[in-house]
Amino acid sequence: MIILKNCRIHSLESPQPKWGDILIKDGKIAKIDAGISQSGARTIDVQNNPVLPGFIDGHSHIGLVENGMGFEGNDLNEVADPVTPHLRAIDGLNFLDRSFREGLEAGVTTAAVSPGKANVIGGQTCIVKMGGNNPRPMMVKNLAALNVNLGDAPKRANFGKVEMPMSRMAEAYLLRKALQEAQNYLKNGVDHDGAVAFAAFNPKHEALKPVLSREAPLRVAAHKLQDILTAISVADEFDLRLILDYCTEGHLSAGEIVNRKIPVMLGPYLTDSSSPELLRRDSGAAAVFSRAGALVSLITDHPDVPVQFLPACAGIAVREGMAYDEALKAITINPAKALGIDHRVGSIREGKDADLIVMDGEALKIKTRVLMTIIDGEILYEA
Amino acid sequence: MVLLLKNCTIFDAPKGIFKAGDILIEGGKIKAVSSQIEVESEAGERIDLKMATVLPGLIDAHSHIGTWVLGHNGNDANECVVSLTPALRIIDALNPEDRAFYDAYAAGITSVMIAPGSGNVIGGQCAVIKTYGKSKADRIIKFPAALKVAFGENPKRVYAEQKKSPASRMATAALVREMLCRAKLYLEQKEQTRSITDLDLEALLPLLKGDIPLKIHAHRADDIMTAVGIAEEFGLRLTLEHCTEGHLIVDFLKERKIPVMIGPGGLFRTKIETGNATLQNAGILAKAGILVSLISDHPFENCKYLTVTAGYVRKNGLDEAEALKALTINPARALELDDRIGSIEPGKDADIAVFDGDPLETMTKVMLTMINGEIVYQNGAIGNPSHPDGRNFP
Repeated sequence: MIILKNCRIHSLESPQPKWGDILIKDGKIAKIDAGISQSGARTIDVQNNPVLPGFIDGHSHIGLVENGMGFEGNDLNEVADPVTPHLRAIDGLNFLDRSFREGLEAGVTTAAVSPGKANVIGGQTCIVKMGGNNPRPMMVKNLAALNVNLGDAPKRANFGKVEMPMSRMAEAYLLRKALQEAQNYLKNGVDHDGAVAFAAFNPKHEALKPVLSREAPLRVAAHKLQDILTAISVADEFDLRLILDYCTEGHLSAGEIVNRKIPVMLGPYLTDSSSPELLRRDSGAAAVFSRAGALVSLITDHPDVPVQFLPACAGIAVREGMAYDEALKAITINPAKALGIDHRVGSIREGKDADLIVMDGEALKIKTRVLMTIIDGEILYEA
Repeated sequence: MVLLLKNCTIFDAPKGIFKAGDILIEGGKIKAVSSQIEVESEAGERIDLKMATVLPGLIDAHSHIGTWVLGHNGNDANECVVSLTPALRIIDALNPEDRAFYDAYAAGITSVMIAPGSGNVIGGQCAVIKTYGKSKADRIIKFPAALKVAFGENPKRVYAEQKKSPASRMATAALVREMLCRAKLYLEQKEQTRSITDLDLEALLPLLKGDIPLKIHAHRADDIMTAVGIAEEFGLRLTLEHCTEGHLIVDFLKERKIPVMIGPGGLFRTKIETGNATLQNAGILAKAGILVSLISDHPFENCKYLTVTAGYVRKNGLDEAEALKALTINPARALELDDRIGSIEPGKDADIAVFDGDPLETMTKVMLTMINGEIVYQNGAIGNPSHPDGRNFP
């Protein structure tokens, strides 16, 4: 048990900070109050420094591309087949990758990890804590989301080959075909007991089941507006829950996205924008979506922007017009809500996981240091 | 054209301190810097900066801006067909309409050294350019400015795949030596027999004569030492680019007084040779008295975020003043253009960047950028006709 005493608590549940203590027990936030005392607890005086929920990176490939390694560390893309809904990011992750440590020292406590961009349907997101005793610190056991990529990346993966997809038309076709065939399989491929005949068992179709049943969202990574609209169109056809990642040109049709209440995971803001798909990237889009009432998350797409720069991405959004408090939510409670893990993380509330960071100043300033990072009630970093 | 900037908090780059004052600009140059300048304001303009932070225009001393756009067919900086291409000139790849130039000067960057890539062992000739100018020729302030050379993993990865040399570090060094030996003979014999002009060997003459330095791309300590060894063998001047493992060989670098161009700092360690990359590198080397500059290597790090990376480098041990010098007077000195750029002093180019706060924080905005006395950016897009639609919210 740990008591953090004299905290300036930025719970992200309400805009105003509160002064008080936090009792951590069995990995959870057990109590938030003034003057907590508990025998047997280790007491840490936070000295009125800000305490925030640990940051959440809603879109990354951390551990799939290892830090400081080339080919041997890269398990990002199964380019052999453009449609791989059955592949799981968790199966390619190296938890010993250095980036986890670098991220948690910068205050990032949870990361959603997706397979790479080369496939039209890349596979299943897993959500992991950035450290802890558990060697596979996975948060969500079942499919968290299914990843789709539309645009240049799947075409580029096939450059030099004569295989689908070579054009955006084929990308959309492959996506629809996969969904349609899975739908057929689920309707017709079962015997009268409701189980699939063993010979007909198809892991790809099985992997699409939670998406078709709306249990899990389809996450479509798309930059150009045309690809965003394709994603919306497919989601409409199959009645799917949708999340838009990058959504780079989305601000050109913000109304469409906001009216459908599609969560947007914007960014990454610190990278090059020279590729033709990225010409209209505008870090002011976060402010536009936020003011329009969308659920906005800001992401790094690690390793494109290394995970430890997540707060800087939020700082850039503030510079370009996003409200400071909204930018903080965009790297905490908003990605938690978008990914369905807000019952556990994203804010400081009794009953949630004790994922907490102590800082020595304004969270989004580069100069500010993380003094302590706690994940699941364990102090994993102390400055 | 006379322009008076009043009430500035001016960064005196050579001294590394801030001081309050006014700046008088005339004919594209800094005319005077002192407190309380007054002029007859007939033909002139005055801007009250209300004590905003005024820096010399930032200098990004290692970039491929205007010559490399990520995407198919966007690479004009690497001619990876044969590994030794000293005759190639980066200015022949320069597209002044690259939208990244707008991003650069909107971020306060006014001068850049553009270089060929690191796919070739000898990539070609580098140039120093302003990020804005009416024509391509207008922008170029020094050419040739350096000769680009690359050691380490990049050239051997490129050529091993093509089953050519270099496939190993041994060949990289041997190829450089061979070319330098041949160039030395060419120089000696040129005086006597002017019958044949070899464009590749011609390109090496300014280097051999000491007019320009070798711009050496190297990450690993052994590559740094190999490269420096070759430069010393031929009596060449040099700068070290990236110098990722510099923090492991501080004394070696300190003794030789080699300018070091460090960056890109926010980049993921994508290769084994960058495994020991640390944001603490610049601070460690600067404390040892080495001339440290911070660079973007655009587009590998978007140069518009150079100040953000510099903020992180500062957080990781680079002294406050040194961090600002590393973007101004230090690269000016390393590029041997400190008679023209790198500080706000009478006689120098009127290249200025004005910030509404700490220049190395994410939430600070650039208020104004000036190049050669012309305001090219002022809190809102002006100046670059090829910039795409900008803010366009329905």
